Amino acid sequence: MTRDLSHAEAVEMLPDAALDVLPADEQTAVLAHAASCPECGPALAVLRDAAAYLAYALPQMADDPVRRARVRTRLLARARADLAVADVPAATTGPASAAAPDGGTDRAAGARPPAHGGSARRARSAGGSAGGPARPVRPTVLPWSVAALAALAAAAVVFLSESRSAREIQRTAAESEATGLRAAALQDSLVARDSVLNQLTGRQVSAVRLTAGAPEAPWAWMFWNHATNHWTLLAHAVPAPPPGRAYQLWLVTPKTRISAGTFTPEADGSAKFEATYPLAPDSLRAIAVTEEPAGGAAQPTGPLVIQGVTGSVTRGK
Amino acid sequence: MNPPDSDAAYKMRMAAAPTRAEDRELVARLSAGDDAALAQLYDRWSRPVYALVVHLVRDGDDAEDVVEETFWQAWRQASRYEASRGEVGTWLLTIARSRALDRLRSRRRLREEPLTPVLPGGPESPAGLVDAGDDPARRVESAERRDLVAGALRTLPPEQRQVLELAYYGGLSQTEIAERTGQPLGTVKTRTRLAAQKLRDALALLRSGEGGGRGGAATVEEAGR
Ligand SMILES: [Zn+2]
Repeated sequence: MTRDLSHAEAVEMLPDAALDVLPADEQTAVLAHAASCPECGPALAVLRDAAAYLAYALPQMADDPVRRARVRTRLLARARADLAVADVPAATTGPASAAAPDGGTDRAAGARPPAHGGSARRARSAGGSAGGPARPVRPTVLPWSVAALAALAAAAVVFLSESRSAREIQRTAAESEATGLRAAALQDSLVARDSVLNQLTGRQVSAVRLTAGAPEAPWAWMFWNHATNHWTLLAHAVPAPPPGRAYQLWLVTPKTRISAGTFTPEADGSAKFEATYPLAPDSLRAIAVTEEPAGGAAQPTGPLVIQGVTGSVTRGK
Repeated sequence: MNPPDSDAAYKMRMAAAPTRAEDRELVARLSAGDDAALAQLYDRWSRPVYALVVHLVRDGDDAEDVVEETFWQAWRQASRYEASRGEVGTWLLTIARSRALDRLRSRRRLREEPLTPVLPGGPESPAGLVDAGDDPARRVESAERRDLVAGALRTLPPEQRQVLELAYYGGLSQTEIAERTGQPLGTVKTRTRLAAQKLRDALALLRSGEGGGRGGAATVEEAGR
């Protein structure tokens, strides 16, 4: 999808890349070159730094301390949840949940067992980096234990259909012990994942079930938070894609199919995929996952893996 | 006379340098997983970040999301920040603009929004983006940055300045700039390239008096003397 640029071509395009005025594929190509070129990397950084200075010439805008305070609260809750998840020993929450929840960072790597570090880092490459390629959505693939995944999906669905409180979700998770889930650990991880729950539950969250229609086949829930335009896909029993291939998520509207990004599952077949993407509330017709080249395709070309139609949308009250 | 060589500019630089060092210290703590440092960094930078983002996305709800994602990305990628490559503030603003453009462009694609870039009143605007609140050192720093970029922009020919402003403040792509200005795409490409290079060179020149270079440790040490 992205062709390799020569050094000379890249040098020519660096100023444009720094300003982010290139078409997405060209931007991606320049960034890819700069990432590995000892000359272009630093040169791009200097140009970017200069471009960022332009922000300082903006006139004072009407500030919004209320919004900033709200973001501060959410941000710090996320950070604390992030740290809490990092501190959960692997033994208490299952094999995968101790790996980096956001696909791994250098900071997190030291604090966590290395079990899934490799795949976490691979998954990370799907996400944007500072000034990364312009893309409509910013996917991150999170490792997730099967148990936590199932419980979260189940709990959120119960919540959506019965309008329970978040506290009751935790109770529901506890009650599901009979099904073999490890309730105490789950409760801990659920509490630690407040920010995840915020995206999965609430008045403005729709849930879509994605299936392949066969036993043992992959399945998933997609939660769409209309208030934040946050999309969270919790997938399960997803086989590893063939080499050089990945799964691509599509939001299907009457007019078009919008790529929400690509992901690969964890070794245990689970995947958590998040994206932020604004979509008019009534325009979603279906959600689909197809198998595509690892870099993603402009339109679906590969085999359909799972899909859900909006007939199965559950809108919270 | 050359502003950065003036006595006033020199004093401004010396006063501002410690706050840059504090920013770097905060990012170092971020990469060690210190959420209190995240709170501090947010308190220092959320205002200019929010202002830039809301300028670009022009919607409070979208701006909230983008600001959150900006600092979240900083939290997750703090260890990738390299002091030798620029200031913490420009790092954050670069992330913020990139995320804001993602949002803006996907929204334009989806809703076919008209391209209506809002440009600042010009670098001579009395109040800069980084008003920085009550901290005198930060206010000095913000004034310094505003003066630097104003000086750099003044060195650009008007047509280059225009493409730069449409690109940076308007969030337009080269193709969109060509459509909007009625100039051939090739001309727009040449102008953005020259403009970005000139801006870089002008800023480098204006900042060369900072002592020790681009936000590196030497700046802190010299400032301490
Ligand atoms: Zn190169």
